[in-house]
Formats: sequence, structure tokens, C-alpha cells
Amino acid sequence: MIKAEQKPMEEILRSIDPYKKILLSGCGACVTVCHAGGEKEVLLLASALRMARKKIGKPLEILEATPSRQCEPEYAQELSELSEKVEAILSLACGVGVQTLVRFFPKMPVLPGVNTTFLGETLSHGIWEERCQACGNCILEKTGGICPISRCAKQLLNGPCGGSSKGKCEIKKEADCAWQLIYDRLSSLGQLYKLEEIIPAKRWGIESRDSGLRRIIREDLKI
Amino acid sequence: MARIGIFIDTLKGTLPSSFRERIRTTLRDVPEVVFSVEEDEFTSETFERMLKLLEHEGVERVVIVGGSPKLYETTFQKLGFPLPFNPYLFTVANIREQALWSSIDEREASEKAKNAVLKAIRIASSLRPIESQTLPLKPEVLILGGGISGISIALTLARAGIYVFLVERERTLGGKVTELWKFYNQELEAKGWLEQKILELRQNPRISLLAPARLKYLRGHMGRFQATILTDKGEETTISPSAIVVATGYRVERKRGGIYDHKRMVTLSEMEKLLSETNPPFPFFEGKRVETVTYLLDDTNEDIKLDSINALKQSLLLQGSLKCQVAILCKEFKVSSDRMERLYRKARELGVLFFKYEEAPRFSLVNGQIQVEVKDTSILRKEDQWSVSILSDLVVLCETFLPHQETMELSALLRLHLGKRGFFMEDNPQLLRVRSNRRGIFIAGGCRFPQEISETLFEANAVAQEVLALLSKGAYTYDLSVAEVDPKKCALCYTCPRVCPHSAIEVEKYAEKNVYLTHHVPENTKWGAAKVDPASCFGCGICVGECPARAITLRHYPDEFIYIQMGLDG
Amino acid sequence: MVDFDPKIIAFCCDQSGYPSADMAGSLRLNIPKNVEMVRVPCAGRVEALYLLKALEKGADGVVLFACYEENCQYLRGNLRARGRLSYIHRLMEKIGLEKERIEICYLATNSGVKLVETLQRKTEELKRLGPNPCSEGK
Repeated sequence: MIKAEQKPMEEILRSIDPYKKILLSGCGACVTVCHAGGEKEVLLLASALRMARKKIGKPLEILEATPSRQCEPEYAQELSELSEKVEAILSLACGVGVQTLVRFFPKMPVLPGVNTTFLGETLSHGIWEERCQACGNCILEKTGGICPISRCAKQLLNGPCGGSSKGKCEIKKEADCAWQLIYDRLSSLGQLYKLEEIIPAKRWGIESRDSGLRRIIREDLKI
Repeated sequence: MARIGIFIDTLKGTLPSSFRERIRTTLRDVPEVVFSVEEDEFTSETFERMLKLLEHEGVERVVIVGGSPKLYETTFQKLGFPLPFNPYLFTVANIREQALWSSIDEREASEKAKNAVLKAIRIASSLRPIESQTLPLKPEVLILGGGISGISIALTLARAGIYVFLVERERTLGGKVTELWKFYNQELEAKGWLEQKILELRQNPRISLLAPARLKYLRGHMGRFQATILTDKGEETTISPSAIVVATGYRVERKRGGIYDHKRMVTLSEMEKLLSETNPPFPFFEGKRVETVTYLLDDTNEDIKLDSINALKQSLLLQGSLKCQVAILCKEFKVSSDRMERLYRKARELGVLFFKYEEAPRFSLVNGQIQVEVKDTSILRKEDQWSVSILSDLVVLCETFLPHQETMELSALLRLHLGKRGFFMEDNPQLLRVRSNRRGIFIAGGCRFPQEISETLFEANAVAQEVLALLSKGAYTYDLSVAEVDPKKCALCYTCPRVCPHSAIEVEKYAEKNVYLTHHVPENTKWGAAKVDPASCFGCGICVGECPARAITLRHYPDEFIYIQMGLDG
Repeated sequence: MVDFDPKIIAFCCDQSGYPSADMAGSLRLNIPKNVEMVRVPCAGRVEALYLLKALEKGADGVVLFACYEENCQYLRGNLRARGRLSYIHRLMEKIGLEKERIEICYLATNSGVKLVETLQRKTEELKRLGPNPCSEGK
């Protein structure tokens, strides 16, 4: 799922500085799961923001809401009544959720309260790690199910660099070398022959983000 | 508006009347208060009077103004009478300990008391009755592990009419007792004793033995566990016991490397075997007479008594009828078991030498014997302490006690906690030694802590009593004063199942019937959401504070009560 | 230094804080006047939000009375409470509030003296710090 982290308090305070009344909206999906923008975080942040503004003599009024998800227009609509009462919306949803609100509320400033960090998994409670960069052309089949795009610092496609040392990465010493993991995994599966196949360079400019805005269209689903 | 009745407990007249008068003045202005009466103490007659008054006035909520709530909770439990009101419809204003007694003067006390009483009234206004539920319990128990704990628990339970499934991973029953020759405190051969027990076990129609077999899955909670047992032939059986006893034992590991591999370095259990095969007057090792034996204790398992007990038992025999010279090197000789003090004295009288070491003793080979060098620190004056060297025919070592290999896997399967050393952890080391963190699962024997057989048997008895206490009524009745998940808000983040100390929460995936407490959800709704098992929940509220979606409420202690007590409700 | 009577909210775990407060009464120790005692089933019941709300809605300080480490009846309630407090401390630092306003204090069932000493010390500390600048209506 999408993982996010709350923005530094100073940054949030700076962004809402011009407003006296805002809507603080969480999201009941990914950011709830990673404890960054669920109802608990909304109430905590709202309380902290009110206190911070009270302290500098510029009281702030905050309405609180947490729709089940923010990335669908129907859920955004749930906020429309509340949004009429405020000057701006501070959203704790991921970048997608923020932009859904932007599309839905054309005249309302919508500010992000979290940094959308990565697509990752939970290693154990409170620890999350990146697993996917949405490159648009999955090669996990060739690499024993371990993604060198997201887990190798250099995004190497055909074996480790010279900096792989004792199974660790040279860029981030505490991180495992992705290619060590790939080798170990393929070796335990008895599929080391897969390493003999050369993975061609990714066509970032054709099938991935460098080609401009990506869009999925399912003609059969269109209404 | 709630109608509230107030009972002012004068605590046998110890609350000063002026103080009480001030409280009554406060109460006069509160519209919710229907009546306020004074009682000198709470007895069954008081209860009857209260009941009449409550019925007469049509009042359902009660505030008791008096001492600590703990006082009333214990008094009411002790009285054993059914309360004249739902136990969740009364609250206490603690004006003795936390007002009258802890204030500088009566004026300050009255202020505090007034605050406490008003808060109590506000809480009482929002109290809701909490019903209780009953969970039927079949007399069926699953015991994991056929060591001496498992066997004796099974026998006790079966005698009391409970059906037992005993699952043992090995082909033979008995566990570590099969390595034992004699008990230290009774003239009995362990082998025959154990065989008698196993025979009794096999003949008991209420005990089903599954061996060699292991637990593959466990689902559900107390009263309706679903345990899948896999036999070594690959057959799967699913049983639904009401309670589970874990008695999977421990394993030992011998020190290796260097001189420790020498054949004259034997372990306590090897020595036990040697002794069982010895014919007096002398013990022999590889055809040669053994004359000197040295025990090295406490180089591992420093806090386990078992090694001291076995070493003493063996040395009495060696030094006594087998005419050997025994030396025991230890840091602290542990005699805190039944009769150990006497046996220790007897050993000293027989001439067993005890050396208390701090630095690890050194071993070297001299003419095929092992020379042990140890600095004896039992002499207080440092300068008088000298090194002793003992030429030994045999050196007896302790084995390190470790959790059994499968303990880790089993703890994940059963969702039980492990202690720091990897053994199963009891719920409370002082008070609840045989209960695990989950209601309905008990732990016994060496999988919790290795100990001597007579102590293990005591513990096995304790476990059996706990299980009987649970199952004898045929049902478990509990109040729904538990945590409850609002399925509509649940984000399925798995925070609560991970954080629940009693493993009472699981995520239910589109189950057939998944509605248990929530009143506003229709009976046949299907959803995927975390679900608290009300019979397993202890009502601590840890999950409530963790839930990122704030989907969990503690039914008997909602946010509201806390805000009222904080003085923030408006 | 402003002369004022600091308001403290004391969350009391039912296994340690609350019986200790009773014990303090039995010992005739003086619990400061301006303390709101909040009885909770376990320190783990105290949400991070309550700590902030307490400050926001008028308290000058908060004390969380929990059981000693490894002594929690519910095994980890006190540790969870400590974790939540550390999160709140970070938030407080960022909004410019003194961390000292909220503290966790570990007690046993009979620590009446320690409870009262902590509350009295806290009152003195808060007098030094002055009124809570972030609370409503101030």
C-alpha cells in the first residue's frame, strides 16, 4: 500500500498561516494503515495545530473529517458541505487524495499534510519498507520476486555493483543489497539460470513516467 | 434526563456530619438527583432497602458517595448478593481517600468532594447497562506434550470426567523423565513409576493419545478452539477443545569444543545412566574403576535448581556406597527444594567437597585423567584463598537448558508470549504462574521453566485445577465489558491484533456470521474487519488507544467517561 | 514567576495510580487541590489524544501514573503509554511547549508517598514554567 509520513510541523504551520478556519481531512485507507493520516492522526494534529496557533496569538478553527477514502470523487463529495465553512483544506491523504480534492473543489486551496513516501510493505508493526516504484513494466518474474528498481539504490538490472559488501548496500549500509537477495532467492528456488538472461534497459521514456502523464483506459468499463 | 439516586455512605459515621451537610447542599441544585439518602454501611439489609427505594422512585442509576470505589467493588463481591441494579449502572464518588483525607482542611476537602460528586453524577447520567453472556464449555481439553506434566495433567483431568486429547511429537511418552534413574527425594526407580503412569494413561477411555503428531493450525478462542493435528502418517484431525494445555518441555545442549569433547567429560544425564548400570561396590568407566568425580555446576543455567539437585543426588551415592571422592564446584549451591538442606548436610558429613568459585575452573589432561584447578573463594580472607587442583577420573558437566526447537513456531501458532530466554511466558510470574497470556490456554512444565519432578508435579496439579475450575461449570459467564470494533470504521490495518496482549482480536474475513455486539448492524451483514472475542478480552483498552481509525471503543469505559473525569466535557 | 495555581490532570492506572492515591489519603498526605484524578483501567487506555486535549482544554500539566516496567497487569499497557507519550513529546517540542508539562511516573500499588511527592513537585515545576500558553480561554 501507499506509505506516507506526516510533514514537519513547521512546514504545515507555514502553509496554513494565512487561514483562520480550515478543514483537516484524513483518509480512511492507506494513510490510516500507516498511522499517518487516519482519524487518530487527524484529531492529534488538529489539537496540536490549534495549540500552536493559540500560542502565537492567532487562533485557528479546525473542522475535522475522515472520509473512508479521498481518492474517489464520491468520497470527496462528502466533504463539500464542510468545505463551504472554511478557507482552506489541509489533507492528510496521499498525493492522490489531495489532487482529487483539488479537482473537486476548484476554488479552495488544498494543502498536503503528509509526504507520500513510497509503495511499501509492513516489516513489523511501525516499520515500513519500500517495495515498488510503479515503473510500469514489472520484471519481478525474472528476479525471483525481488524488485531491483525499488530495492537497489542504483536500480541495476543485471547483477550487483562493486559496492555490494557482505550482502549489504554501499549507499545505505544498513540495507540489504537487492542483488544479493535476488541471488539467494533464485538459488534457493533452484532457478539461478534465470540470471543468465540479460534484462534489457528499462524504456523509461516509453512505458514509464518519463513518457509524460500515464493513464489507463479500459474501453469496456467506460460509462 | 437521567434519574439518579444518591446513597451517601457515612462509613459507619466516620464522615463528619458538617462535611456531609455540605455535600447535600451541593446535591440540592442538581436536577438529575431524585433522592439522596444516607447509609451507615452496606449489608444485605441495605441492599433490600435500596432496591425498594429504587423501585419506588423509578430510578435506575446510582451514585455512591463515600470511600474508594475499590472498597465497594470488593464489598459487593464479598456480599455475594445480586446487586439491586446492573453492576455497570452505579458509580462511586470517592470523597474519603481522595478528598477528606487528602486535604489540608475541611473547606478544601468540601471543594474536592463537590467536584468528585458532580463528576460522578455526570458519569452516572451517561452510564449504560452492560449485559453478560454465557459461553458453553464442553469438557474437552487438548494437551500438547506427553512428558510428565502432560501425562499427569491428562490423568487428573480424565479422573474428573474430562475428555483429553494428548498430542506428543515423539514415538515414546515421558519426555525427559525417560533419562532419569532415581528421584532425589524418594526411594523409587523413575522408570517403573513412569511406566505405571503411561499404562494408566493408555487404559483410560477418556484419553485419546495422538503420537507422533503435532499441532498444525489453531483457530478460534477459548471454548471453541479449532485445532488441526497432523500425525506423522500425514493424517489430519481437527478437534475443538475448550481449553489447551501447553507442556512441550525443553531441550538441553552440551558444551562442546576442546577438552569438553574428552570422553571423561560427561553430562549429568550420562552420569545418571552410568549409575543406573553400576553394580556396587565400585563404579567403572571403560573398564577402569572410578575413584574421583568432580561436578562443575553453575557455568550455565545459573538460576535453575535442577543441576544442584541432580549433582547432590548422584554424589551421595558416589561418595556413600560407591566409595568415590566427590568434589562439587559451584557458584551457589541451590538447596531451596524439599529436603535439600538435609541432603546437603548429609553430603558434607560423608565428605563431599564443595568449592565455591568465581573464576571459571581450568581443566587439563594429566596421564589420561582430568586435572581441575579451582580457586576456592569460600574462605573470607582473600590472602587465605588458594588454588586447589583435583585429579579426577570423571568430570560431570551441566547441560544448558534451552527452549525446545518448536517453541518459537508454536508460540506463533498459539499466539502466546515468549519470555526473554525464549521459554513460554506466564501471565504473571507471582500470581498466575500457569496461565498464559490467552484465556483458556495454560502452560505447564519445562516449556515455561525447567524444574525438578516433584515441583513439576505440583505445577501439573495446579494446571489441572485451573482447567477444572474453568470447565466444571460447563459454561463461562462474562460481562460484555470489553473492547468492540466498529466494522464500518475498521481499516484492516492489523494494529489491534498485533498489539492485543491477550491475543483476543483477529481479523475476520467475510465470515458467515460475524455480528456479535454491534447493535446497529443487521444480523446477516458480512464484512472483513477486526473482531474482538468478548470471552477472551480482558478490557484493558490498549487497542482503543492504538487504533489509527479510532474504530474501537471500550464498552464499559468510553471516551466520554475519561473526558468527564478530566473535567473537559463542557 | 507568575503566582498561580497550576491545574494538573493525573491519569491513574487502576492497578497502581488509583490505589496509590487512596493510599495517600489513608496516610493523610495532602494531594494538591487543583488535580483532576482520572481513573483508567490501564495506562494503555490513555490515548495520545487525551494528553494533548488535556493541555488544549485548560490543563497546565499532565501526569500519567503507570505501573513499573514489566509489572503491567495487561503485560504492555505501560510500555504503550510510554510510547504514546514520546510521540506527544515530539509534537509538543515542535509547537513550542515545554516537554516537562507531561510526564509519566511509575508506581506500585502502595506508592502513596511517591504519588503525592510527584504531584507536589509537578505543581512547583509548573509554577516555574507559568500557565500553559496554548490552552483555550487564556
